[in-house]
Amino acid sequence: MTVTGIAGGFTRRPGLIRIARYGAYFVFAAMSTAFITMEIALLTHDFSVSYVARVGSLETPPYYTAISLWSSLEGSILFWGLILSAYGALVAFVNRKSESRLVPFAGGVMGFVGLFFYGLLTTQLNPFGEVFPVPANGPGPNPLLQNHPLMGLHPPMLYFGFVGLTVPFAFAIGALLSGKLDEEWIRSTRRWTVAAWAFLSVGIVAGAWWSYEVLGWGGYWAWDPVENASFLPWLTATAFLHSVMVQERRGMLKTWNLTLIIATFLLTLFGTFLTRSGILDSVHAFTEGIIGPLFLAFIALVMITWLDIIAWRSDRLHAPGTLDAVVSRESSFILNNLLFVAFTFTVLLGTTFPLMVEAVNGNRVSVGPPYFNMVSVPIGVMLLFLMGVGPALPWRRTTPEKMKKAFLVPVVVGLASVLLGFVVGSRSIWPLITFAFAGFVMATITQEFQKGIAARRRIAGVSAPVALRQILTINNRRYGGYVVHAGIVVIIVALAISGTYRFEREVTLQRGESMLLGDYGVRFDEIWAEQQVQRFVVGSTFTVFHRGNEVGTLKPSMNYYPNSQQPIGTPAVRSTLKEDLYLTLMAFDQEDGRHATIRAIVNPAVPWLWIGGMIVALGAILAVMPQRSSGRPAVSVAEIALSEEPAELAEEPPAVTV
Amino acid sequence: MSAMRRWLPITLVLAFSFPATAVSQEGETAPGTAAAQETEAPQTVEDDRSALTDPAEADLDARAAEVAGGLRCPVCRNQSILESNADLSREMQRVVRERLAAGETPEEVEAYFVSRYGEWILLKPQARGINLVVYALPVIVLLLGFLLARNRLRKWASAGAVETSAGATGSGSIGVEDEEWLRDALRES
Repeated sequence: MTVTGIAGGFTRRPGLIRIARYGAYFVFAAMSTAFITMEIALLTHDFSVSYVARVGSLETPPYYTAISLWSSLEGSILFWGLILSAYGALVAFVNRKSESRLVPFAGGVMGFVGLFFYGLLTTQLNPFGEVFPVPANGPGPNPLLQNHPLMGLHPPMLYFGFVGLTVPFAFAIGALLSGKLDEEWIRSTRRWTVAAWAFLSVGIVAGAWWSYEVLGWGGYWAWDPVENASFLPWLTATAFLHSVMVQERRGMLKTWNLTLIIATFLLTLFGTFLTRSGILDSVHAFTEGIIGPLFLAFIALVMITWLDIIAWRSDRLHAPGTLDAVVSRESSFILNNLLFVAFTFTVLLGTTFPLMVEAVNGNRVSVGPPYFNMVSVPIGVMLLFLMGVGPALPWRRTTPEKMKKAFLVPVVVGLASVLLGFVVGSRSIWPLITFAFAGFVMATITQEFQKGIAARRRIAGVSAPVALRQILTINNRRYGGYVVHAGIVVIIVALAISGTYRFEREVTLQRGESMLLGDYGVRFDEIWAEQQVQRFVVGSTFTVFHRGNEVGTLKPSMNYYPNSQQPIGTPAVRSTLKEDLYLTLMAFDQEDGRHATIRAIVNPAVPWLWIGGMIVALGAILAVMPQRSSGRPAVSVAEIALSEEPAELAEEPPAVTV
Repeated sequence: MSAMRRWLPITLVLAFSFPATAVSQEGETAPGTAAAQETEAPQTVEDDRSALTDPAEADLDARAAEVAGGLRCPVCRNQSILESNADLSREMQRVVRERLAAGETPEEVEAYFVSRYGEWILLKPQARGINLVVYALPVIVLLLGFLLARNRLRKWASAGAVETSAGATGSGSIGVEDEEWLRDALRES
């Protein structure tokens, strides 16, 4: 497929391209067969298959058995391969009638990436090894990975995101190889990129949620190297999603966009390398061994190839940029990119710094959450600010009057948000700045919607709700983007609040005894135990009071798995829109359950992280939906331009119509 | 994982070098507990409240949490001792609290743990020697990037100015906002 694709691209012979396309379908069929076979082996507990013997057990419930496919190395790579082949087949199918010179090259590049993974699967990481004698039972998956249903969502979403970023990468390389370096590769991968980005975002949020619900320390993001590994490509992909708009509109930043998407792809590989090689200490690094060097070699190969091709095509990449004014949408995108790249660099530096120091002088240092929080808060706040400025700045240039018109209300709303935060009791500087910018951004987003709706109502003469629906379907990309922004603002505010105003206590309580934490009272009632099929659960029951009223019970527990020496805790959470009460059972009286030690945490605003994540997903879905016409008789372009003019451009001379 | 394995023996030795690490379940006092636990009689919510609102106690709790959040749990993966519920972490939290209560500064408490475990125990590297790189480089990159972007933007802007003055009117002078609207409209049709 690779060979025929690239050869077909160069020779433009339809026959070769067709073979490549059927090759993509065939690879997908083969990977699906492998995947289904493995699922059947897992679900029927066929312990003669090496992977099943390692992660399966008769006691694991079927749901966790099914998802144990990605609970260990070989299965994950198999799953990765399946998704990659699915993307490959889908790209081939969607573009089957395309005359574009890009597609065969892109298909070839995807096939090449696939070769690496399929090669790993068939040589070093074959999950279908034979085990003899056949064991009667297996150890079951890692207890942490069979403790919460979100494990069924978090890894697949991340994989769909990671692997999906191969598509724009393949098209970028395709553009370089074919020499067609205009905006075509960006246009044809736009929706692929947004979709992959959305999967990645959902995967990251689901991972944070999983960590919150399972790991029992009341946090959701630990700057763990592997969390960082998923965050790094997200950062560069986000930068890419913004900077491509500059290329689409203005034809600028060609090399930069190619660099960004290739860096994104390299970071996904690097993330997989970090996760799978076990080079860094992490909850996720469940393996070690030879695949580390293989991944490094592959990363190096991609990098060298990329530099070579860029050098080869450098003559075609030169695009003289012109800008009408420094204060413009273009500049805000460039600043956005600068911040995202600096952010990426910093997280990458922090993540790998312990390795570098150890390599340089043999010392061991740690770079953990205090460092990452220190560096990411200012960058995050600056990005938040830009999120409000960028969309309100017009392309090309603006005038002071327009600026005033665009920013007056948002600035007022921003100031009001600070005041509100202050009145509610916030006295810390970063949260207050965050509130200011959040209010500012939300106001600009609202203004953008208002502007769109008002214009729509004038043009089409429809009611406001209809106008809203129409702008969402006609210009779904732009307004979907704003919805994503709103979701991100919700997440950032929730991060600022929960990061600053969480409080906790750890207390040993006798049976019947209560403790107070904020508005909550928690009474220890009893310790109980239950033998479940796959584990032994020791649980505790606490009655929760809120301002003196009984509001329910919470049952944090400890789970004992046969293949783990340490018990795995399951915290219990009582969520309201305002805050979570989070209880973790830390220790208990093992003789007769007379006392229990709990950590109780009041985590304000945490539910808004998940809500924000859902808003982001919603916006992204909106943005990737195919653009539809509004279903009414088409209004001529001139008519729109004319009807638009009086309101939007009152201060400008009549526009030249096309 | 491999690093875990390398560290496990050391940390185990260290763990047992703490006399109170083998915590007995009876009479265990959790760090950060405001109310006295010695009494067997169940306490009321009111008792607890008075203990909680003791400002000195609350302040000590807050300072202890601050320090504990910056110390790495030696037997966990990437957790601070504040977050971890390993016995060793909880013992270390108790030590942090005691030392702060005895009048040590947070820096002195950190120095104590560094002397026992090495610099590795600090989740935020000390800003000296080679570690300065991790603090300085992001700032340098950001500043350089900013300067580069500024120069580039200015260059482009002056190129744009030349272009507009040369080409005077034409399609280039179309209002920016209707350009956007025209695009949307064109896409629609």
